[in-house]
Amino acid sequence: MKVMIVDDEPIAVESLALVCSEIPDIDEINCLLMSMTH
Amino acid sequence: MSELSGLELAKSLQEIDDTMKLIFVTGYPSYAVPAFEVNAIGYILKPYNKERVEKEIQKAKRIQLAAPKSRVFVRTFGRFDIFVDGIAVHFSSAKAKELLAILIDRQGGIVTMEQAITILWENREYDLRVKNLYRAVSKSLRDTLKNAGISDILIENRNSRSINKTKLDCDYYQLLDGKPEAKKHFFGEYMFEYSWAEITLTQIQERLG
Repeated sequence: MKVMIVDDEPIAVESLALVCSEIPDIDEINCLLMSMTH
Repeated sequence: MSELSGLELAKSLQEIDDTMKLIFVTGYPSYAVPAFEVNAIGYILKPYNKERVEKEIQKAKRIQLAAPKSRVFVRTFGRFDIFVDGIAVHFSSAKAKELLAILIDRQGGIVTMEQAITILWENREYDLRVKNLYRAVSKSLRDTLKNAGISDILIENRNSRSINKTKLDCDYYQLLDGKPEAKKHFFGEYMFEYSWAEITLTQIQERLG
């Protein structure tokens, strides 16, 4: 399964990517850091 | 580029690909309801752990597997054909069918008029007459797909064509995705009526060892 992580905080993207990297069903992780409103 | 909120981004992504599965990760429980309004399949509240994320991924996988299969199936192993609801589409022009086969072979990549002409009429000079022939073939393909109710698989620009991979199932694509059932259907032939397809056939054979 391909996963795309989008957030505006580098640490949030990085920590979720790290968790996803340990899940066997996920074979591709793409990360997008973008400025977002809240 | 103007800034988007997570919900606005989700809406935009759904417009691009409505098969995409969205899972929200947030520290605010109040975002749960709006998230589900944009068809999110899951919601993870911070702080999360591996088990929580894995549970949502498993859910996404189950939903994906349960989704109805595409109405359109393209068979490339053996003779090339395209089926809508299990019925083969009839092409009045053999070249129009071959043009579609080329686009399928390119896996959604763009094929320019010149590239297509070089394959469809390999011994002809690239001149106005052959360009007009190509335009007629393109129109025939467009009409055939329209009559079959599957115009949306074809993406047309002024001098190039491609197919929308998300709108169809194809045995070749299933094989590339590593789906085990696709290997069972491959018996050593790939679009055997087209000589240009031998390059891809060799790649498939090398891939399968």
